[in-house]
Amino acid sequence: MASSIRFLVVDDFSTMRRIIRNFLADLGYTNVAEADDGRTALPVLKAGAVDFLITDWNMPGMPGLQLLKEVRSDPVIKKLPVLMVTAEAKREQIVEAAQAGVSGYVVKPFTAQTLKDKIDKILASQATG
Amino acid sequence: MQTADFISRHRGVMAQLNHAYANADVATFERLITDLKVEREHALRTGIAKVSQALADALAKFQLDSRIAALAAKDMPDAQVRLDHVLKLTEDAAHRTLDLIEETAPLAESTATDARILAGTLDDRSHNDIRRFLGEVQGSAERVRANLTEVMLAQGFQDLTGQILHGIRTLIGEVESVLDELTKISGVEVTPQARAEDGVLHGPAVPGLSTDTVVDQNDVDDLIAGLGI
Repeated sequence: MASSIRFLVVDDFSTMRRIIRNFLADLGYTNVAEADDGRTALPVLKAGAVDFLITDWNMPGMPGLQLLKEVRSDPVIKKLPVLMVTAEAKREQIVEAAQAGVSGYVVKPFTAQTLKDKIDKILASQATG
Repeated sequence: MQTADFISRHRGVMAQLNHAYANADVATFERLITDLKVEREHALRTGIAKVSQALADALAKFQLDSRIAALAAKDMPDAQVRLDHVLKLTEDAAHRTLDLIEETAPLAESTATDARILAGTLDDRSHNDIRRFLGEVQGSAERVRANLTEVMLAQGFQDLTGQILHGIRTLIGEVESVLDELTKISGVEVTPQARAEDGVLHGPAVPGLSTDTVVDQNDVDDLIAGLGI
């Protein structure tokens, strides 16, 4: 069932973590954990306790792009869906994230529909892939 | 022009030098050379004096402007504290809004559900007014619920403005350290009078910066009452 999917939301701003968590709850996803940067997120991911990662890019400690690269280079969790939700809006950055293997990219500020579409699209491709 | 001036000034001297040289007049020759040397040194001294004066003027001007020192020592750090306070205020406001959304959204949701269920229990042939009303209640509650989601997402402004403020805060820190170096070089003493305080409205109180400000409305009331108003 969709609601059993375990999400991890990584953002250094507590307001944004809370917004995404609430939004996921609206969509029926209630199994949501939070981390405030890549460094605290990575052990949780490596423990295999996450099915879907939503991460910011610009964070102190370990930024989201580095976290994405760490995930993609780990044989156990390398296929984890990673949706980047960030204010970084330069084309070259989006290209960089894509090259690092991001599953989806949402630029802040975003609408409910955009975030829902991206999550649905990634889950659909997971199901068929 | 300078060349013409140079030639006319030295034509006489050259002729005298040539004459002394031709006649092996060593004493005159030496005197003429010494005169030339003295004239050259004098020009050099005048030039150095001019440059020194300009440098002294520039330094004096810089020292006079203790506003620069005040900027480095007080205003820049103050600006950082102010920005931190803005960050905190916006973060608190966003969380407060999210609190209220989390509290209100389930109410709207259950109202919509209850209205729908209740309308379903009513006989189709009677209670038309009540059924219509329940339909409106359900529609309104669903609309409220959807709008609350939009209000929630709008709180994302705090993340975006926060990131920009963090950037400005870093920039201020860099400017501060440059100004700090400049004032150390010039040796300007910072005096409290250096700040331009006159006629400035202070705006919202910033904890840790604002002195002599009221804490809340009770403070204001006490103060007003104390003044006999």
